[in-house]
Amino acid sequence: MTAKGRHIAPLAWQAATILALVAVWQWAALTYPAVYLPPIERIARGYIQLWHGELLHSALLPSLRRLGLGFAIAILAGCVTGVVLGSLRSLDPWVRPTIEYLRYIPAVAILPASLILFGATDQMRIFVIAFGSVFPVLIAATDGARRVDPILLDVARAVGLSTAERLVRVVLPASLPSIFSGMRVALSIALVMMVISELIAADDGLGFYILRNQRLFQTANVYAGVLTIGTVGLGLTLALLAVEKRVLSWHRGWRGLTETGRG
Amino acid sequence: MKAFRSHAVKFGKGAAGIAAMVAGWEAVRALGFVDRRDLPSAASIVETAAVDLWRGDLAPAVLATIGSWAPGLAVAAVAGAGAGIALALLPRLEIATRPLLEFVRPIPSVALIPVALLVLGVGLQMQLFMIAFASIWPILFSTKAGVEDVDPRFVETGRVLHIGRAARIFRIVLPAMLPSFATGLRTASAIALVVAITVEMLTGQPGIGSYIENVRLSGLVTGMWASIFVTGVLGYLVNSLFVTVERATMPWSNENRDR
Repeated sequence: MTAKGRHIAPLAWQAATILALVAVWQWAALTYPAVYLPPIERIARGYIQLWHGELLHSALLPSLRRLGLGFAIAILAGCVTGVVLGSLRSLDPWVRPTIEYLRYIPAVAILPASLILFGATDQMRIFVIAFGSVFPVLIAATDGARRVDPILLDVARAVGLSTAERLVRVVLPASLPSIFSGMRVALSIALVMMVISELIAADDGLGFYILRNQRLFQTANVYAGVLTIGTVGLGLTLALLAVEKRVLSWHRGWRGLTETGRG
Repeated sequence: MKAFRSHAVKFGKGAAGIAAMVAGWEAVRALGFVDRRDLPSAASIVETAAVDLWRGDLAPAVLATIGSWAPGLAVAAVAGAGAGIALALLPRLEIATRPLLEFVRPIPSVALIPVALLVLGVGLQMQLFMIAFASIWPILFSTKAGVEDVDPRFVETGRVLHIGRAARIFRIVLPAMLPSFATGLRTASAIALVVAITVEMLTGQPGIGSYIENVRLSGLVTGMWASIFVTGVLGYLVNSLFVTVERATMPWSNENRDR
């Protein structure tokens, strides 16, 4: 088989799998009509409706706004705390037990508490998203900062950088590869917390849209909402990878990847 | 003696850190940023937790959550490990199912709770399904990565020693991939707990989730904070349990490297 043929065959298999699944679903939906098995075209219609017009503003955009703010807060707080904790090692035994306790609280459990403190507001949802996703970033930043090459720190000290400058200009960039892998984990948790906070206490957003349509037995819309959340997750993951690739173009891991890609 | 001393110092520093957090909590209360009734004192939260665990309905709720968490996770562990090994050893199967897996991966499992409600209705069956479905993915993907990362020299050595294909899988590939399976299982155990509690909150299925919602709706604010505190302890214990088992049973695991 030629190299090109070998490349096309898997794609053909994959396309065949998807088509077969869609065909089986459609056949089942038409032969055994059931509430939970709506035909494909109704799911597609619901999906398209979510991406423009009224539903875009009442479902997709509110969700994206909360997710964006909560995730941004988590990244900022996680990086700052993590880089400081990782570089000042003597601090570690003082704060570790507290962080270990907080990070293993199942994040849903704090939702009722934030509901009492903030009410059913966007602050409450943003807080829950940030709380859930801050720990992977924090742990990764601590880890990255702890593993900074000591030679880099010696050089920074020798050229007379202050502690703050060392943290921002040496430790932070050197921890970025680790931070980015933490951010990928954090993103999926942020998405989960966004959905949960909207399922339990919201009057707009994708989670609320799904739950309302489930109660109205508009099943096609439920599936359309789930697909939209999946699309958002996939899109944001790809965007994060693209940023990572750009920001970390100097890093050995990425350099290695591009070199093997070329060879 | 020296080792004991350094342990005691470490413990003391950790306790001081927790004391500082409690002090911060009390400071927020004292400064009046939030209504004091919404933020009870740390001492009263711990006291209520102890009382509710001992005499109230909190302990049965915790046990009910564990009772659905454990079987759901067990099903996911078996199915996830099986699927992960199969995908790693059968490249054709992996290629054919890749679009499906990549499609399911970015969907947060909790978004499927309404779908599960439609298909399975409210009940233990639906809760178990959601827990197993949500926790199967980390197990599947880390098992698959673990099998793929097995050092080919190990397998070659097995071949040189005339060990059969089945025996090579059981005696070389499986032990080598166990640590990454264990890591996946630990991640999954936390996800399973979140999903179990979310389902309880949404559907009133007995457990911690519905307990927290009930005390909140009855206006028992201290009881609510107490149950959240207990939930955190449960999450911590679950993780420690898995780490301890990993260290004890897999001396070759990464968990043993930084010690």
